[in-house]
Amino acid sequence: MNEPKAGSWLYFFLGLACFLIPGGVAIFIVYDRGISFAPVFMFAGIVIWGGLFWLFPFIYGKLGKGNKKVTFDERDQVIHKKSVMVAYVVLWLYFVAACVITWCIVGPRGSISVNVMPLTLIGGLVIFTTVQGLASVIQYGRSDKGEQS
Amino acid sequence: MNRYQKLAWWNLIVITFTIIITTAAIAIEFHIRGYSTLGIYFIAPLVLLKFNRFLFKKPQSEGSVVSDERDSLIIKRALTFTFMAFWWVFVISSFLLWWFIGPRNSVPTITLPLMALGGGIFMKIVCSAAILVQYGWQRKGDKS
Repeated sequence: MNEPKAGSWLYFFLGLACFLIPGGVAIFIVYDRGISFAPVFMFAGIVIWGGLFWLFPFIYGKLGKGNKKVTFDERDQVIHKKSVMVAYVVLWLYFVAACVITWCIVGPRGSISVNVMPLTLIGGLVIFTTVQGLASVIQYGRSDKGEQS
Repeated sequence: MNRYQKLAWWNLIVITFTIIITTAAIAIEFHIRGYSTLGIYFIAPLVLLKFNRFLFKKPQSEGSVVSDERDSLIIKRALTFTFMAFWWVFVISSFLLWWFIGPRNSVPTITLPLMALGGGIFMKIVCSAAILVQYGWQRKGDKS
């Protein structure tokens, strides 16, 4: 298993944990005690972290540029770009599905809690990270095929 | 002007036309009846965007190609930028709605499909603009 492949697995689990744990805690706080600074700050942190998380491999690659050992080459970059693109497409489909399915279930004359919006957002972050991690792992192949780190 | 530039202009023209007639219809109906329900039907011209795959496929001169690797790269970049822009709009719209309305209140369900429709239109506009910006607004020797 080369370094980017191990990184994609780490990215997959770390990303999920980073979104699910604080997201769940923030939702619980809002549900139990109402809106306050702490859950809003947590939501904002999750969103900023989630929005910039895909840049992590590029930053990591830039930081390691001085090393003689190549850890993130052009192939890894192409794989990463393709994964981000696939994740964006799935995110878009999820957004449309979430909007239309909620509308169909509740009915056109009904109303929904506005808390659905941040929940949809956190769901989107989780889906984005999951799909991106899975797409990277699938593109690298399930088994090691001669790649070395 | 090559195929993708023509398609980008086509998208922008159709969307602008739809926004104008929808806004006008809602404004007129609102003025007459005090509320508007017919406005939603005026978004029908957006169906024209579905015919993009059949449009402008003929090369302008014989022996030339409709698109090459450079065009594919421009389209890929535009799509990446579009999805990234959509992500931030999705985040901001979700938060602003939540922030201004308050966590204990509710919104009509029609808001959600309207958000999806708005997201789709926004993506088309950003993608078309990104394509035109990458090619340059004027002709720079590119031929289809």
